[in-house]
Order: sequence, then structure tokens, then C-alpha cells
Amino acid sequence: MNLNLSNFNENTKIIKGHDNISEVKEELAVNGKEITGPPKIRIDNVKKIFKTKNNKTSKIEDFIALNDVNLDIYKGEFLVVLGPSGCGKSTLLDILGGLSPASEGEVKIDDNVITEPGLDRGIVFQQYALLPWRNALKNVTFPLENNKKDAESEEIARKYLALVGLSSFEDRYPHELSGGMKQRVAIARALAIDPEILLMDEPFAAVDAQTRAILQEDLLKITENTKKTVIFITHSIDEAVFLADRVAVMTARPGTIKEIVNIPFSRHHRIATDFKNNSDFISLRRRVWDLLKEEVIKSQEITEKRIKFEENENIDGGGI
Amino acid sequence: MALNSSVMGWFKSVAHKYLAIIVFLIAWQIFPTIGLVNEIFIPTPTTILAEIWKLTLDGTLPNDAVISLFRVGVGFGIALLVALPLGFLLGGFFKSFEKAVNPLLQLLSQANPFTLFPIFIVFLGIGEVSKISIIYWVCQWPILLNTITGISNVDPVLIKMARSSGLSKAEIFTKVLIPASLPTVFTGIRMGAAFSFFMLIGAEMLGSSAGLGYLIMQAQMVMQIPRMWAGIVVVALIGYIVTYSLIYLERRGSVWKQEV
Ligand SMILES: Nc1ncnc2c1ncn2[C@@H]1O[C@H](COP(=O)(O)OP(=O)(O)O)[C@@H](O)[C@H]1O
Ligand SMILES: [Mg+2]
Repeated sequence: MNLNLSNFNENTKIIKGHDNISEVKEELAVNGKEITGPPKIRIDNVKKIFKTKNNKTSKIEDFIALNDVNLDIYKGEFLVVLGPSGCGKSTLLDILGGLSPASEGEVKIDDNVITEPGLDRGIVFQQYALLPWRNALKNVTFPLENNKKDAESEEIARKYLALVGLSSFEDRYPHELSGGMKQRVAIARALAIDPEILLMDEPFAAVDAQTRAILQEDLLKITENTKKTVIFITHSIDEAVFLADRVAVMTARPGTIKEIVNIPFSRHHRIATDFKNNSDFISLRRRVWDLLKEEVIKSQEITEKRIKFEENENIDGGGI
Repeated sequence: MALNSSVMGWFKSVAHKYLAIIVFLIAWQIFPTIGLVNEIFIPTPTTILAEIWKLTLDGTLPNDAVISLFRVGVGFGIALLVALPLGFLLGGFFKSFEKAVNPLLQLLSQANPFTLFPIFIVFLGIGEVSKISIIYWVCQWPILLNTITGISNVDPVLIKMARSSGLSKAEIFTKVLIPASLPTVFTGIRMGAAFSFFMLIGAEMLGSSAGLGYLIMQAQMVMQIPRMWAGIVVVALIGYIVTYSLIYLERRGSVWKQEV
């Protein structure tokens, strides 16, 4: 294959420091977002190293999953992180969720460094993460039970199940729900704690294309109405351009933010018009693909190399 | 008539489900009667039932059954009390320790209990303690190993979800790990129950002066063949009842599970 990558390399800016805030504010104003105050979330020089054991040499090696990640996310913004698979997107989300610590650097929410999970952040996982022995209602009450009485939890859970359009399915167990419905329950559960921030890790990757399009629209409406700050991870360009106020494109592993692409259309415009077939969408898609293409190729090369050298074994113990 | 047809329907479904058993019993009844097999060694089911009835009335069977059930109950009970908490702790909280001792556990669980029984007798004597101990020893392994496996195989994303929902380690343990591992744990409990009956009969045949295993062995030695068969059938029935009670409990506890 003869791919001419030189043009892209010239245009690419690996984001080493933080963006100029006033520039970003201007950009976001076009999306109908008025930014007041400093960033809600500030990711500062985050690096993540996994210790892995090489199966051949039995040596413990450093495996750099993320390197020098810098990113600011503003209140009420819908930021999509787009990157090839294996580039460290989930790792980044785990750090944001406080589920795993950064090896270097830090993440701040409103000037507080994240050290542990908190109810200010609701997480939606790709694999739904529903408890199979609880029905839809009881899955949504799960994070509420510690702080609230049963009746109150259930009232809140009903409200959010209604919001995601599942009112009549509250008695259903996960195995009785379709993939799209399961993910709706998971979204209701994440919203039920009324978090300021919603972290979503490829939530629609496992559902079929038609369902995905509907879920995407519903998610835009819900997050707009509930005024959440959203960090949404995906490897689908279409999904990124449709959902995002801004798209942060990541490089191949070790993942870092390559460039941030502003999507200068309001959410209302994106929902109300046939945005996905619009020429604006297509040119944005083209631009994002130009940024991503090279990284996808690189990440495939990395994967091939890894397969050649055999999988390294994860030495982190399981359990809790 | 509606009632009649529903009774017929019920009868049909039962007949269908147990068809093989019914055919087997009929053949068993007929073959010795027509002399196809020797009635002295394989008495008919009706002869065996009559013998069971006689031994029940004279108190022999109830007496031996109570002694046997006591041994199994205590041995199996101790195994539950020891292996369940140990398995949950090893699988849930002391993962790296568990990884270190797992090969040893596998090895011990593989040791043939019948060869171990003499050792138990040497240390604990021929009385109740050695029999209950060997039953405990045998049925703790499937319970322990399945509990560890059940806990270890809980989907890590469920644990992540629970942590992000603000649950403490203890709460994650009780609200996620235990219920998620229950199906596997229950398989271990059922295997443990089955093992405990194997071992019970073995231990009672090898060294005992009471119990169903002893009754069978004793009857065989003095050639009281119907008496021997009565013991065999009662042991099989008790094992069947115990297994199906456990399956029933398991079903009730996991209505959420998809029927396959
Ligand atoms: N616990 C871990 N131990 C070792 N390596 C890991 C661990 N978690 C993730 N990785 C590796 O880090 C890289 C990034 O993983 P991940 O964040 O899941 O990628 P993405 O979500 O972008 O597909 C992958 O190569 C993955 O194999
Ligand atoms: Mg991922």
C-alpha cells in the first residue's frame, strides 16, 4: 500500500500543554454553549504505566498505555474522545472515574484532584454491567441504596427509567431485555445518582446500527436537558462527529491527545436536521478521518508486533 | 370434560417425563419373574418394597437411616461452614494467596479418599469422629474450589460498576460477589452432597457397626439378598431426594437465570 501520510504529519499538532481557554470559549460559543469559568475537568500530563510480565523472559516490563495526556473539559460540554482500539481510551476513563490511579500527572474536577470514585461521576460501561439477579428497577436503585430509603430510591429509579423510555420494563431482568434496552437501563442507573459528569465508554458499540442511531439522538436530548458534562469514548467517527461539541482525537498507543476538532453546530441542529447526510457532516467526518487514519494504521502495526512477541501477561491480581 | 382432560394431560406429561424409569421398573419386575435373571440375586421391585416395609416396621431401616443421615449431615454441615467462608475469603480478598495455594488445594482434592480413610482411622479411631471427618474431607473440596472459582470469575466490570457507585469493599462482597458467584457455588454444594453419600457408604462398609452402608454389607455377607437390595434402594432414594431438594432451592434462589 502506498499511503501518503506526510501531509497529515505536517498539519498534526500533538497537544503538549493546555488549550488557550479564550479560544475554546469562542469555539464553543458557536455550538450554542456559553462557557463560564475555568474548565470543569482538567487532565494534566497524565501518564499510565502498567507493569506486565513478559511470558518469554519472565521479566517485569513497563507498558506505557497513556503518555502526556492534557485535556480540558468545560461544564455542560459533550466531549468525545476518539481513538483507535487499544490506544488507552478505557484506561483514561478509568482514571477519570477514580477506578485506577494515574502513574504520573493528575486529574482535577473543580480543582480537586481525583483519588477515588465518587457520586459526582456516573459511568456507563460498554458491557452494560447490569446485575443479572436484579430487575431493571433494582439495577437502577443499586447506587442509591446506601444513602436513601427503598421507597425513595425506587421513586428516583422510576423517574430515570421513564426518562430513557423504559417505564413499562421495570420488572424485566437483564436477560429479558435487548442490548439497546440494557444500555438504556445502564444510562438510567448512571443518571440516577444525578452526577454532574457522565463518563461513557463505547456504550453503543455492542448494539445494532438502527438502535444505535436512536440511542445517540436520545442521549443528546437527555444530556442537553439534564445539563450534564459528558465525556464519551468511541472508536466510531460517525458517532463522534454526530454527538460531540468537540472531538478529541487520540494517537495510537501510547495514547495522547493528537488534536481537538470543534464541531460548530448546536445539538439542536444536529438532532433536528438530517445532519448525518449533510455536507457539513461529511467534511467534518473527512477531517477527523484524516487525523485518525494514520493512528489506526500505526495501532494495527503495534498489534501485529504484539501478537508476534506473544501476549504479555497482566500481573495485577483480581479480587477487590 | 375439562377436569378429565387436564388430568389426562398431567398424566401424559408425567408419563412422558418418567417413561424410561417406568419401562425400566416394569422390565425389572418381569425379568426375574419369568426367570430371565435369577430372582435370588435380583429380586423384583415388589419384593424389595415389601422388604423395605418390613424393615421399616421393625425399626431397622429408620434406625440405620438416622445414624447415616447424622454422619452425612454433620460432615457435610462442617464442610459448608468451613469451605464456604474460606472460599469466599480466598477468592474475594486474598487473591494472590489463593493463587499461591491453589495447586496444593488441587492436589489434595485429587487424593483418593478411600486410600486416605485408613489414615483417618489411625489418627481418629474407628468411631464416629473418623467417619464424619472423612465425609467432611471429601465434600469440602468441590465446595471450596467451586466457591473460589465462582468468586474469581465474577465479571470485573461489575466490580468496577459497584466501586463507581460508591460501595465499600464489604458491600461489594455482599451485594455483588456473593450473588454473582452463587450459581457456581451451588454446583459445588450439589457435588459436595453427592460426594458425602459416596463416602458415607464407603466408610460404613469399611468400618462400622451401624448405618445403611453397614446394613447393606452385613446383609450381603449373610446372603440376605432382599435386605441388601432394600438398603441399596433406600440409599439411592435418599441421594435422589437430597439432590433434587438442592436443585429446587437453587432454582428458587435464581429465578433471574435464563432457562436453557
Ligand atoms: N490492567 C492492565 N494491565 C496491563 N495492560 C493493560 C491493562 N489494561 C489495559 N492494558 C493495555 O493498555 C492498552 C490500552 O487499553 P485500553 O485503555 O483498554 O484501550 P482502548 O479502550 O482504547 O481500546 C491496551 O494495549 C491494553 O492491552
Ligand atoms: Mg476500551
